[in-house]
Amino acid sequence: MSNSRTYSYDTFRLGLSISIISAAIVAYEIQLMLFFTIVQWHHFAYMVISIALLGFGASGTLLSLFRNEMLKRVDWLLPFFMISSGLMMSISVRVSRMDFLLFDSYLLFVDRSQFARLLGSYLLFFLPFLMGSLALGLVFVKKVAQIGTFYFSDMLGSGIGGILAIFLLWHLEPVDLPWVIALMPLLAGAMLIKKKGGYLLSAYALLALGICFYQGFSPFELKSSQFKSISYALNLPEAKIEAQQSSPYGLVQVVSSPVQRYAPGLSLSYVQEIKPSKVIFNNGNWYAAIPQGNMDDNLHVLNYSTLALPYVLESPKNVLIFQAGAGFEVAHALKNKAAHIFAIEPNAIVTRLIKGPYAQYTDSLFYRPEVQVYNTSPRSYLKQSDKEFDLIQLPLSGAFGGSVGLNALHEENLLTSEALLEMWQKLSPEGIIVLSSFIDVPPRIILKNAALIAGMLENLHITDPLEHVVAVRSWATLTYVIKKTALGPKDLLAVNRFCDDYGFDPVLLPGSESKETYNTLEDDAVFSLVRKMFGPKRSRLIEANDFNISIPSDNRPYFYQFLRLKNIVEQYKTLGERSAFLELGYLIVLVTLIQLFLLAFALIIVPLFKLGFKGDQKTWVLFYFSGLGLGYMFLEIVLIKYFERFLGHPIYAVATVISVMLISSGLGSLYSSKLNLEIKKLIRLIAFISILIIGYALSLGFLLSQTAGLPLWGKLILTVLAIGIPAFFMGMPFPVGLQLVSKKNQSQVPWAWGINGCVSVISTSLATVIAVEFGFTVVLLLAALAYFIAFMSIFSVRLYFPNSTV
Amino acid sequence: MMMYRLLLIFLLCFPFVVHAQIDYGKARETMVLNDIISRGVKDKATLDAMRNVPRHEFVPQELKQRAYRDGPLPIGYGQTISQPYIVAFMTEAIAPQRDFKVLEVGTGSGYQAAVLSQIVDSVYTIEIIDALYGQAKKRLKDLNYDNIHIKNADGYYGWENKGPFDAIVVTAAAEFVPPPLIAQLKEGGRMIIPIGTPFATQQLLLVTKNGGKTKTRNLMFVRFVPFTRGEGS
Repeated sequence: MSNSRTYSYDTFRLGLSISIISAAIVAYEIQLMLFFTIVQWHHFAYMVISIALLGFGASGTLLSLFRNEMLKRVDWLLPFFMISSGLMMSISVRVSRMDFLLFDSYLLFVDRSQFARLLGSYLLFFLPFLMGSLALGLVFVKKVAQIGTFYFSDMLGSGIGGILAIFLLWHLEPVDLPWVIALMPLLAGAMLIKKKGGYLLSAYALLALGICFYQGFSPFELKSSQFKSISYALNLPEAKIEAQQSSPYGLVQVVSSPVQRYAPGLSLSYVQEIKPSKVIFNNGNWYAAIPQGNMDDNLHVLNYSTLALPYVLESPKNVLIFQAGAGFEVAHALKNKAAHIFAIEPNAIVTRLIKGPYAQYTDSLFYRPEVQVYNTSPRSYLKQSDKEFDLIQLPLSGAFGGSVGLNALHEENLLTSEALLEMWQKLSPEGIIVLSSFIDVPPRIILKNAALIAGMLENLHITDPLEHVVAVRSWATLTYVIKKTALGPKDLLAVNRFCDDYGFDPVLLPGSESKETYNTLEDDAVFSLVRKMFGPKRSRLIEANDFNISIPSDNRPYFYQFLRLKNIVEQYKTLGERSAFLELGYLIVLVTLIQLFLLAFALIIVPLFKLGFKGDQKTWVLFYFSGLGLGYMFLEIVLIKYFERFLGHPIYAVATVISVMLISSGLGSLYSSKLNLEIKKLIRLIAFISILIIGYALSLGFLLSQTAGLPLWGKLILTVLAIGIPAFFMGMPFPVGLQLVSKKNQSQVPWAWGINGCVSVISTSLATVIAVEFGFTVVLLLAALAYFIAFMSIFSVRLYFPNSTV
Repeated sequence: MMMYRLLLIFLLCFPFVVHAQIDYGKARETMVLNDIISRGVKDKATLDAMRNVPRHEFVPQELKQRAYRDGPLPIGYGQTISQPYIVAFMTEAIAPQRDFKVLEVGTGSGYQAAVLSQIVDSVYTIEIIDALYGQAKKRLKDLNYDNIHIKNADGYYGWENKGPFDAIVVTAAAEFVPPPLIAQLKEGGRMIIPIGTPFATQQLLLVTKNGGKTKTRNLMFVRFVPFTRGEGS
């Protein structure tokens, strides 16, 4: 056999092995996001991305510190690292559930030991990524002449990993995902075990394989935090999970208990029995109550809540219900004689349950001729539909008793000024939009809803907005109704009667100031503030409020983010440690950001000082590689946010963005290795990337909003193009830069790798914080600036590489 | 070398030494002075009850040292023992009298029931979670609270054959008030419901029944800056 054939076969085998482990790393990353979403809350997804990048960065540091020793033993170490990665993947999740390491983010600000447990979890989950990236890094260092080829293998595998993750999420239970994914690095490592002297490694691989299969035969219990809704439900007498299905939508579970009931903000004058309800949970969070059938029963509990207000004013025939869930509001609409109900429910698994095993329980609610169910995102439906609606109902927002802010970082695309305007445009001439929420203390949601509505009416040039809005509250909920035509005397009379019958109080209703009050707040001035939100002082009131109640937009769709960083100290003085429970989600991200910054510095940068930084040109290396790291991650995070709204689902969006970006970047990297880029062209390329990102900042949001009504295939094509094009070009500067660095001074290569890794780690959480505070556009502009800094750094040293090509 | 050994022994024993030295009585008195009276709780019966009930006996062993801190503590199953101030606030809010019969829905650790039992004639308390019921029952028995009657049941139905009640405390709050509880509240009686998430209870809902009308009043544990700030600026 010729050397070139052997060379090709070895290259192919190594490339395949790299692709397999890269796919496993990305699939494991996505699996971990789901895991954290189930046992904790979804914002830990950012932490997972950072942990993965920490592994990459730290591997670069280790490679630089022990480069020669590792290169001498590469035949042994390469499979060893891969197998170890698989082993760690299979056991990390189980070990993290052990008592000594189990952490609960809810207790972070109550029990100081939780910080140490969180740190322990970082380090535990960091290990599989470290091992995997050590293997990858070793290949890049050993085969630097073929870096383009192997980098492409890495990127291609990573891209496939995203798609693979989606496939596995459909077909496996969450507890099985880690060990099944772990089989891939084992395979990748086994492929590289040399026949000569490979017995020990083979035994190690077999041991790891045995441990993987053990996980399969002896699955651990995936318990959610004791503070999640499902945990409370499962503590009830005779509570049991009677149905469960996992998918990319999440882990959907149905819990039944004879003492579980649902009747939000029920009037105190209601004297009938409240029937027990089965409840659907998604990722451990309350999702929907399942309405029990028996359509002859005219007593629907929602008729005794403020949510009945729209039916007091009108008898709507065409009703659009967002986040229809299991159909509780659909049943309510049917009780009120709606003729056509359009129920929008993004989670197809929930709909399948109600149409399938729970069809009889709900008396075939979703099969009623009046009811049509659409499994799509609300904004997509609004774009696609050409119907007019008499009633558009948003889901009840907030949580009874207030929330702890764990949704602060959740993009709420239904509660933005653009969304509300789209709904208004779909109303029939007498149409109504209804927004309801639990009353929170301190009041934030009710004020933000008022601001949102008032802002929309102002944009429509409606001179007297209070003629189009009525609001009513109970002891627990507040409902706003926005009517397209002005309210008349008949409407006001009906609302007054409704309030008197059920012990509710009008908040926005002309002539209601002298009425007897059924539900008194200690400081009722908040309702005066609600009224003033519709006046000329709104902007000033928003600015002066202790909480962020500014109107959310599509660019900054964080409705549940109320924290003003400048007020943290004041709030702590007022509430003490309880202040953390106003905005726990945001604070957790800030804590994560700080911890990861320290970890990244300790694990990546500090060890590099042992090496020293020989040679000059430190500055351009620092700015070039940190610019690339920051710019790439900032763009990736914003693209994930945009495409969550566009595609209508978080996990699909994450997997799609990661896959397309990595595959395209890999292709870009491969192309660049064949191009022999001159410095001048590299400089122009980076400038082009920066300008392209600026273009995205100014136009991508608009483009996606205009095309949100496309069918799925159209959306996917647009998604691939919108992500793939910049990612292709962005895949080039990094490997080219590394080759430039290695030409001048090999010792600077680990620094370049380490700086890029360190900056990438903190960029994920940092991008989130900036998006929350300033919006997506600013994050994109900062990404463009980061690439501009990289451009300037290489531009300034272009003379250092005269006539240089790579 | 000897010094180092002694230092090591001291450091190992230090937590036990510190633990043994906590004077719970003194801690309780400090709690009442600094965290309860200073915040405006005045009712003598309530203050005496807070002084007498050993809160540290109602928290998990590993949290005893923190029993008298100004904050809630986790007791398992997603439940908490409320901040001392909130317990005192709620007790005062029902204006307890010697002859009162009080219903509590959601026994939890049993601390609130124990405080109430110091003031009123009898406390009927219901806990739905088996494990918490078992722990509370044993604890209350061991501490000789013999005017507290506890049962393991669904609090939705109240305790019909012992009602009506002068006051009802609903610590296991749901997003609705069970109609049977309203029915079991005496005319002129008070029902109180602390509302809020674990570790961040923000308000107290006071339900009153007078002349056939049921009304609510929201009381806040913490005074926020008036909401209307900014109107004049």
